[in-house]
Amino acid sequence: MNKYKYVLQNRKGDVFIFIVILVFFILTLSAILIEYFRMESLYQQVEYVLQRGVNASVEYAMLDEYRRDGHARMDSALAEERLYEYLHESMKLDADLSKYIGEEWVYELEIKHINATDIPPRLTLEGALKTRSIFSFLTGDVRLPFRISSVNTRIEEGGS
Amino acid sequence: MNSRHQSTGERNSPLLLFQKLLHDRKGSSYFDLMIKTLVVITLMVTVLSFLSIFTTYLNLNHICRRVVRVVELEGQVSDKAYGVFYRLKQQTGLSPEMTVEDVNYHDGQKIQLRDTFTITMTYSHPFTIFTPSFAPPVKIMIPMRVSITGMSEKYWKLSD
Repeated sequence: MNKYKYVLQNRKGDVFIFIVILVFFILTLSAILIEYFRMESLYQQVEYVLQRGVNASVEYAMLDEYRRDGHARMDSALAEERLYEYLHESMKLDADLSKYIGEEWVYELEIKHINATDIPPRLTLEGALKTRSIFSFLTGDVRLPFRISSVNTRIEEGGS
Repeated sequence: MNSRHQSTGERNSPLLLFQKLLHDRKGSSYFDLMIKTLVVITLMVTVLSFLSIFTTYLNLNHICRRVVRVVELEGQVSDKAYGVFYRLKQQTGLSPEMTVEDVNYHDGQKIQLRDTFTITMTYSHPFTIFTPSFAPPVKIMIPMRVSITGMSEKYWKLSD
């Protein structure tokens, strides 16, 4: 007991302890910042690619026969089908909508809801991006929610 | 001892005064501070001059990204894309060269929906090391290259 008291009260080497704590604090802060920007960048990238896919699906599923008459109408089933095709073929996601680079798992798309309407021609994708950070042992997997929508709007007068 | 019989003129000789000045520690902190300030300012100027390289690279990246986005939306390397390219060149003061690679054109310059293409921009940044008053500035050319892949979002009804 006295030995511990002596160690605690002894001020020798306190500068070393202080430096160790400071270095630990700086390293932890750097790790948090780097991890935050890595995940932010990943989220932006995935959101951009998804937006492109949703736009392309709407564009493909537009019904020309209605367009000729001045109406905007979409085949919503076809749009959904094209979106899933895009996820698998262009984004290279597997059956569980997981993305791998080589053998390494990067993220998984958790699609909660796809809402496609014929009139107005709109496709909305809602879900979350599930990924891991170096702090996953504390927080578990990280889920970043997204809501992406694309609508084809007629800018010319038409229809009856 | 001979030294005890030195005349006043010998004691005040410039060599001895200089030796005395060198050994005298009075005011040494002032010189120390001056040298440290000079070193810090030199370092800061060096770092700031290197920042221009990163700024130029970021600008090049920005130009490329914007042009890729226009081509994605237009579905072709159109006049609009070149217009944005020239406007951004004027705004940033850079003069990069643009090439479109890995692309399958249909019916001229059309890129079909979900077909990918790559836009590459190359630029040589002149980095001035120093500018002597009696000679032209000493420069090194830093080559920069940015490649961004995009995907067409335009559906073209092509004749078979």
